[in-house]
Amino acid sequence: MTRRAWRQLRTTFLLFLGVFVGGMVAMSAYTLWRLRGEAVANGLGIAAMHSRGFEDFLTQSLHVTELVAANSLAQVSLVRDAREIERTFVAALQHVPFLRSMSLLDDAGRIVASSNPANLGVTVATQNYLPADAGRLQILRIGEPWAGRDFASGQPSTAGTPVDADSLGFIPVTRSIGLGKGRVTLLFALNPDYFINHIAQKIAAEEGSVSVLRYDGTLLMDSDPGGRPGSLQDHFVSELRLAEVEFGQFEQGSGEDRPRLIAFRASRLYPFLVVTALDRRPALQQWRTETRTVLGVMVPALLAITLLATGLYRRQMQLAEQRAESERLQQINAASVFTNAREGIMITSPDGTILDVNEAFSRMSGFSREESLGQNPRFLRSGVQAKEFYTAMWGDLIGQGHWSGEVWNRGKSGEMFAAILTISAVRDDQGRTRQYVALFSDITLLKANEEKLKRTAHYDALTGLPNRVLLADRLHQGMMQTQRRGQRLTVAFLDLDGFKAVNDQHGHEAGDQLLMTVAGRMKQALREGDTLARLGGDEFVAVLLDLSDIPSCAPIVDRLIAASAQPVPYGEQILQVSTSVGVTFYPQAEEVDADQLLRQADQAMYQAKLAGKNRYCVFDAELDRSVRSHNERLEDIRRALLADEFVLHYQPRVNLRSGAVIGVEALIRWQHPEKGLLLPAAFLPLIENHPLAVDLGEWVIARALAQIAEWRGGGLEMAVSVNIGARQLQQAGFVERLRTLLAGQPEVGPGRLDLELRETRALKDLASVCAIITACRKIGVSFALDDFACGHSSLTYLKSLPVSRINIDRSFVCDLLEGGENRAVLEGVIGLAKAFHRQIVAEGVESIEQGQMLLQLGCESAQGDGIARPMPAADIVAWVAAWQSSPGALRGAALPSVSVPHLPIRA
Amino acid sequence: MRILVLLLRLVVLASGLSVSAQGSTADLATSRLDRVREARVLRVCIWPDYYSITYRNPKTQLLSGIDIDLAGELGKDLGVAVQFVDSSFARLIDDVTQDRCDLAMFAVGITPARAEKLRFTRPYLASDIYAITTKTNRRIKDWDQIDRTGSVVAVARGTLHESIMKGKLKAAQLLVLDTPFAREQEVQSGRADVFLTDYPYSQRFLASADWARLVSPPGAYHITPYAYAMQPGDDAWAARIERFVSDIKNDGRLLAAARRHKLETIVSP
Repeated sequence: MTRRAWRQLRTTFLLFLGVFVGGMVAMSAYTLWRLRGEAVANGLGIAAMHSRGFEDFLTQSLHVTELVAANSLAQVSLVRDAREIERTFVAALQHVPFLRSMSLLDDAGRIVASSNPANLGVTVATQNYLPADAGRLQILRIGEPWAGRDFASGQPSTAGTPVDADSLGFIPVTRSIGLGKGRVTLLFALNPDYFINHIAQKIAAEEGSVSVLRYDGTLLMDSDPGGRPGSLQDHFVSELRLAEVEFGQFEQGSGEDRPRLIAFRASRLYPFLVVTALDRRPALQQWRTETRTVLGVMVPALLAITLLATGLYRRQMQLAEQRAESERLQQINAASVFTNAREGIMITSPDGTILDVNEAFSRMSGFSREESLGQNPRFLRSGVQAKEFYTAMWGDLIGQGHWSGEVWNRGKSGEMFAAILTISAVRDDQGRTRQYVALFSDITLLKANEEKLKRTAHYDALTGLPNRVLLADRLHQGMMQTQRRGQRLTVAFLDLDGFKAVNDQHGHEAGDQLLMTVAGRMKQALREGDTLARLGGDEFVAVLLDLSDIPSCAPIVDRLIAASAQPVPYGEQILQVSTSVGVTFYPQAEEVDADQLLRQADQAMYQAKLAGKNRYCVFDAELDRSVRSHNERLEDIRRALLADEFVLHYQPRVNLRSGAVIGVEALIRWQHPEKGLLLPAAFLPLIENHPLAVDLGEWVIARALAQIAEWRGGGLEMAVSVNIGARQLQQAGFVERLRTLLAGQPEVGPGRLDLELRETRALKDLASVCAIITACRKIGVSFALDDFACGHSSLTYLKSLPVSRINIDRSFVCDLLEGGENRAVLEGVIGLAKAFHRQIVAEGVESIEQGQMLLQLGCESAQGDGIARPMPAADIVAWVAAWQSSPGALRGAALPSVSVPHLPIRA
Repeated sequence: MRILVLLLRLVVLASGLSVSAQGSTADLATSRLDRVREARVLRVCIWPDYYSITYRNPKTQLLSGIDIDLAGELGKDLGVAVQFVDSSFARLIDDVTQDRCDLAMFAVGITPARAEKLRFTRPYLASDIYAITTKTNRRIKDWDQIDRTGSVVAVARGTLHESIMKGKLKAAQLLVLDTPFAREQEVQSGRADVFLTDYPYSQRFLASADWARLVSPPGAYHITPYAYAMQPGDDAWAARIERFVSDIKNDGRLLAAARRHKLETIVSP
């Protein structure tokens, strides 16, 4: 909203509010003014009513006075006795309370008879009485008020000396009556109090007052305590213009202290007028109350309306401002988002006409804004998506108002680009679609990466052949296809012969080169539709489809073997390998899956290897069935343990220098009822990581202890070393069980059993292993690190584990004579052992030379086939005897070359 | 038949009157009690201008007031009819002593002058003196302004106010009046400034005259006990009337009648 619009709105609001409030105020003012007018008119009416009432009352009273006069005079005329007249007067006055006294005047104006005897003789001047005496007229005339109770004690007032407000007074009135030829005059003292009293009954002093004025302006009486009878108000009277109008009413100026509502009325018979003056204040009292009520309601109401309207107006303004602000921000945001977004944005009308596109869109598509406007988004179609795709998109857009998905578009250059497209319908308040906004994110690169990843996942990086994963898939599909078509499928498992040697001799690069070339050739040898996959290393698998029978595969396999066997030039050298192939077919008599097929082919390949390599073998299902499954073999071991088919053979360990037998190493053998004596390699790998290994390990310890005891019984004290796997050592409660086993053979002394720790790579927690070893040592069982210097049996363990001995692995010993690295290592190990105060035993000593060399290096203890092969327990006693009595080959050989003090003992 | 009975009664009444007219000298031996019973009529003196006590409304000519009620009670007690005889304080002593009535029952104030001539029962009401003036009278606003030179104080002739005021007024002129309602006329016409009266009269009068204004004495001015008056020398009669007074005091008839005429505040204990 513009500033001008704001101002206009505010002006309109203020105008409306002003007009409303002004109107209400004007209406109220008019009403109040009208009510006031009514109140004044009403007050004037009341004043007029009072004036009329009092005038009537006064006129009537004076009229009664005239009647009394006439009546009295009629009686007086009959009597001449003054006393009689007086009584008559008194009687006449009895029920006329407004007459105080009644007297008879003689022509000189002297009182000759009176109801009040005190008045006798008083002369009253009546010449100024009104109306003026016009000779013989029989009229009532009114004089100026007197002060006092009666003529006897009173004083006539003048304009200058009016009657004191508080003092008693009366109004003299004469009535002349013709009597015969002359006339007599009766003089009355009119009691003004009576009339004042009457007036006071009708008008309270605070409401107003009534005054009675003679025509000449002389105040006759006044209900106002301040009024002084006798005073002159001729100006007032003359202003009334009684000659023209005898009654009237008016509001007396507000300038005075007490604004009054005046109503006057002249007597219809006598020369006086009654003036009622009502105080305007009490007359307007009700109006004032009403005004207060009206104002009391109006003012707060108007105030409340004004406040409310202002509050509402402000709130509306605030809301409008907020709306405008948010719209402005929205516009700014929308504009900046539109311009700066990395996503391409396209805005279309509901019919699809492009209304606007942003820069990112132009970048992505290559179409400038000008080229795009007015177009239909169809101009980007790549043709990748089918018509149904667009139909579904429009269905979603119309139905749900949005669509999102991946689209291939064609840019201006004709290049395709992939985009994630989100289209939203922009709807108005009525829900009608106004626009569609489409957001494009270019995902061409993403798509390319995805493709690459997909390839990596399915193809061998080196050869570009399908890898194991894709092979599984292809094989699976091939199997299904074969089944459908009723044909046969061949799986050939290929392993290059001599590849390792190539690798070893010429390096990995040469190996890789060889693999790539051979792979390519082998692939060439296959038909279209066949699959050659590389499993890893020098292993390949070929899946041959659509073969009608088994023999038909033979040429292809031959071709494969031939292809692999072709020489491969590598630099200046020629590399050459052959291939052993295992072949199996699908389907078979029994249900088989892809894995089984591969295993069968692998097995057959192994047969081919065994059969002399560079050939193929077809998998023999019959032979395979004779090989038991892994589980069956495990079960055999368990059974063998129970059936006591395992035996311990012992290999002696001797001191090369002294020739003393240090002890023997217990080595397990399986006396298989069918296969004969089996070496550990035939069964131990099966139970590696199997709880059975622990059982077997314990059996070995128990058996060894029993053997020690047996030998001891036979007089031979022999220490026995038992191999123990890391897994068994770390078995919970190992120390306890060992203690129990030792307790089972109490005659076996401490130090007779030691344990050789193998598979140190399986040691998990060195600290706890340390604790176990320490605990074992406490019960007289020491430890040796087996296979030391080989792989994992490293320095860390030597340092960390409290072992008493280390066994040097045979691999170091066998190369010993050739010198080189191994010998250096051996020297280092021997040095370490000494530094750490560990005993040391060299294993795998096979020749006299090795023994001599070991002695030279400082390793005196040794075992090996060169000293003695492992033998049954029963043979040990004899061997020891023979060893000690007749020096063996090794022993004899050692003597001359090593000059050690002990040796002569052996001689 | 009823007319006949009425006539007979009138005859009896007339003969009773004639008897009693002569009774002032004769029958000294017999008690008035017996005579009243014999005559079957009780003559009670009242002042018919006496508001609240024995007032005859000139417009209806009906009597009302506490003593009209109590006279009826006395008649009932004696088992005789009651005949009211108009009297006034001016004529009180004469009317009673000259046997124009058997008993004066109009709140007769016990004054020494009256006590010399009359026999009073024990008091049954007691009232102070009050003044009545016009509402517009600016000269007399309170009691102290009454006794001033130039003031005219009206009293009814024979009332206790006349005697009391004669002794008390120093500066004001005392106007003694004896025509009915003369006091009110004098004050209203301005010939007198105030007239004096008692509590019962003033209360009822203020209720009938809108021009009148009460001027009360600032404290107790002159409290006069009111009683019934009778001819002295007849102990039996006096005892019977005394018993009546004590009866109405005890049985609540006095208080009930006083309440009816708003006079309970001045009932004598």
